[in-house]
Amino acid sequence: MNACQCLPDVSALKDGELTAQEELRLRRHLDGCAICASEWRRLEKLSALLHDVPVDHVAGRRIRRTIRRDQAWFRRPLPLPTGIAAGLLMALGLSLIANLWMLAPPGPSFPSAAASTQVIQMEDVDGVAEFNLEGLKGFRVPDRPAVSIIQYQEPTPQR
Amino acid sequence: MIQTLRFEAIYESCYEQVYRFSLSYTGNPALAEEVTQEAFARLLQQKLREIRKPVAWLIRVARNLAADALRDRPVEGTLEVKHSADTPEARLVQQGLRRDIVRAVAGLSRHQRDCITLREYGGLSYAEIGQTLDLSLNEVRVHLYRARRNLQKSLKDWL
Repeated sequence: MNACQCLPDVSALKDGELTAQEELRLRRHLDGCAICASEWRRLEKLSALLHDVPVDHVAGRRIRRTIRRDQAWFRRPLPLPTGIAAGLLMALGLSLIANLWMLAPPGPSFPSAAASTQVIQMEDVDGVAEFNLEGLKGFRVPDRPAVSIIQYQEPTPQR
Repeated sequence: MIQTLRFEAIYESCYEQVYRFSLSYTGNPALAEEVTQEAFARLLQQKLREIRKPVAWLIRVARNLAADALRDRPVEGTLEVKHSADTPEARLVQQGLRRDIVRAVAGLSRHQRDCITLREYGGLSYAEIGQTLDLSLNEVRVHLYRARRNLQKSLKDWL
């Protein structure tokens, strides 16, 4: 079997992938090495052979036609009545969404300010004043005016 | 408009390469046409100005499409496309040669087939092939060398 350690480099030389220095060195080598010179010729032939794979130009024209048609379909302008109808539909949809949003019922709320002015009974538990009024539980730390609410439950309706 | 003109120019200059690549990769003219059309259709969706080397881009896309298509079915190697030879004998020779080329390419390992088709038909550099297949430069070099050695053996009657 013909063998020379430079054979892989011949393949790379064929592809123009060697540095200038490597190329110069290999071209000198090719002048003196029959194995590599023969490999170079075979690679030239092989490349030409591979490029003998036919090209179907009819398919080419067909592909071009299809792409042009698709392109034209996507880029076509909307006819005026369709455009106006689409605009009106969009405006109608937006106004409907706005109306629904404004008419939406309000979410759950905490007791009103009036309720907070109620006088509530505080119980002294280990030095901290606690209260429990209609589901509203909380405490007040001595020497601080604010009341902290720690739990709120919806009062159960009385039968 | 400029995009369309640019696309037309790219199509004109790259169609043969992309089709030849697809055909040799799949061995099936119908599939090659499908892959080529899809690659160009995808190119059309890109900003062409930003693609520096359209042929490399197209070949990479075509390779991925062809690999996906071949995942379920093997390379066929029929290659019955339009003939350019004049006489019946010449047609037979050409047909035999093409069939052998496709069989030889199909007989390579996946990496060797990828590397040789991307290089020979796509004209991709080693760096671009490495980037496409996630291989190092040295691996690309070795796969190409081995692919050529194997193709030389398979096609020795034609060389």
